[in-house]
Amino acid sequence: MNNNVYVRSNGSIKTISLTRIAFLLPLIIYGIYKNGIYLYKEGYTNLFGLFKPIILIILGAFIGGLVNIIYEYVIKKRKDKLINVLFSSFHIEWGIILACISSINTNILIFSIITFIILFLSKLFKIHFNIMSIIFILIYIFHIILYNSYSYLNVYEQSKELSLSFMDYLIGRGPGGIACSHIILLLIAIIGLYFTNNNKTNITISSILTLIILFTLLSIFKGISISGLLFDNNYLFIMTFVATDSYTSCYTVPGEIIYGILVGILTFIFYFVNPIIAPYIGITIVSLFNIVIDKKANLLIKN
Amino acid sequence: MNMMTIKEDKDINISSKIKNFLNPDYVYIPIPNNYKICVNTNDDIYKEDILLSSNIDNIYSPVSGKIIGESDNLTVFNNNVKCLVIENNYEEKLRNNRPATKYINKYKKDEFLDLITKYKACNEDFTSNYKTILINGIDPDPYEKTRSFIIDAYSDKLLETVDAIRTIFNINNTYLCINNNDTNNVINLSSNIGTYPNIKLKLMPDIYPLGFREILIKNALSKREINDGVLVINIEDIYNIYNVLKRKKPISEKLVTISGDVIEQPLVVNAKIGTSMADIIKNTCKVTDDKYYVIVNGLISGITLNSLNSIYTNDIRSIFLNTKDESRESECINCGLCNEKCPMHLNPKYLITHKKADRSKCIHCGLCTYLCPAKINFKKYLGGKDEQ
Repeated sequence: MNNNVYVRSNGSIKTISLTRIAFLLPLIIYGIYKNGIYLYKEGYTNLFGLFKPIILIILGAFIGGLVNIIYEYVIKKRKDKLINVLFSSFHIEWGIILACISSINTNILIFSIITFIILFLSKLFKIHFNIMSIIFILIYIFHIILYNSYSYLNVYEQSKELSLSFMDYLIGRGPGGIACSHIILLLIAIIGLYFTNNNKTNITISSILTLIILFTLLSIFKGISISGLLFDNNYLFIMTFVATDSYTSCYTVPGEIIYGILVGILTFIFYFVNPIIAPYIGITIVSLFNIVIDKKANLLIKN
Repeated sequence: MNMMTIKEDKDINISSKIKNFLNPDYVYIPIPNNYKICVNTNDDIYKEDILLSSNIDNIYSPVSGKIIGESDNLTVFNNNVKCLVIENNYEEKLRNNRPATKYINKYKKDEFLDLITKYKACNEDFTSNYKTILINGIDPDPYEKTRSFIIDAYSDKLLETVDAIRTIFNINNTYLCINNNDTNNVINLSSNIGTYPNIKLKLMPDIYPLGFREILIKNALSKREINDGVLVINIEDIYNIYNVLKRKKPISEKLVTISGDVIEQPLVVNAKIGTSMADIIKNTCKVTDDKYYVIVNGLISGITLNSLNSIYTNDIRSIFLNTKDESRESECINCGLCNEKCPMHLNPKYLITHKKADRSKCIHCGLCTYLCPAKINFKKYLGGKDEQ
């Protein structure tokens, strides 16, 4: 009774989610153009293909919201306002990010079922690893099992022999998830999230820097382009929006830096196993140890 | 600097004039342990008569009137206390008028210390060796305006007192810190401070929790100044010291901010020490809703009282009648905002999850609770000032 609180900042899970989604919007709009409108205009796809990117994005958000509604209204029997229930956790944001990182070739049914089941389980049980990474890995595995392939290339890109310059990647001509390819828009999102304090930017920066260093060394030894290594598989987007998942990443400054470095190193190692799911495996493994990393990193600093 | 600009509620606009409430029907003087009662029931007493005394100091009557007995159903910071009840005769009669001291800087160090201790004007330890004096004129809570009003009302007296302390203790480095958004006081002090060349006015940004002693020291002074020893005095204590040095006048009244979302017009009130809070509220402001909580000393860092059946004491800077924040506490989202913004560079999440963690450095500013997006009430777990 003696320690109630009477004023609060307006920061909440809802404001954090909405801000992050707002910074995703330019990337999503560009993704809809690149993987839908452009393909339809050039005759590479039909009417369904035109709407597929937006269907996946809306589906991601819908599944996230639905999970929250079922959990709060049906299981917990709460009577909160719908808007508060929808944003009672980051599930809507996760659903949207999952759609963003998925290839345009993703099967909508597989995406929906896996996303719903895992997001729902994450509500029921306290899961200590990165949910988005696990869902993506499962989507990838199911596609490999059912279709024997999972490619980031859309129909247009599959029909051409791509030879992309650094500038092409910057303006979004590279392959990638539905809304991951425009590097300039992504950099704007990183800066925006940093200034609005809605992202663990230390993780983003340390993981990206680690990847840049390691891929630079690799490109020198192997004589291959660093642009392709860095930009082809959504790594920058993943380090910005997936690795920084609030629940399962470190929260102290030294912890965040070490977390980012470890994610970068593991991504680099698993790159040689499978470049598409390498960052997700790295993030899943490191996220299991986030509490330990925070603790040890701070002890290290103190000593 | 790990601090925040707190957006003040637009509904809480404090009236620009101080309202006096100096004629309560009854005043209640808490009787601390180890104090001897110097009056009897039915005694007629004068204002500033000694009511209670200990080996060190005395407690004086804030009004003239009649002792009508003792009561034990009142509280101070939620603790039941036994009180001496005085019926006010509204005459404010003094037993003997004490002449004013012309130059308060002529006191010797020992005389000064004797007076300050006897009249309980200030709790600071003046006996150590200091090289700097830091006067805290910043309100600790963003919704409080008490210190700002004290400076506005008594700026000349405050400057005279600060200069006197500086002279008595022979300390050349003296800072008076005020909020740079406090335009009236900035203008007021800037024009008066020229008379006191040894007092430097320090304008501090309007960020929370700069009014807290530990935070102010870190932000207003250099490391060398801190290491050399700093005497920090709050502006309300400076005014108390002035009254003691000038007229040997004990603390009988003081300013308090009365605010909150159920108060129609928040204001600063000059009230008698020992008045019941219910009396102060009833006589000075209009309450718009019956469902409220009583909070003292800040909406962010303050503590909630069980009722208005509490006594206004010298430790109270503000009284808020506010509805509770109804946000539901959810599971920690691990965002790290509490850790990032803690002004004491502590890790509040760690402190509340580890029973053996050292919480002694926490200043209970409540910034972590204010900021938490998951609406976790850290204050509940870290304890409050009343529990120290």
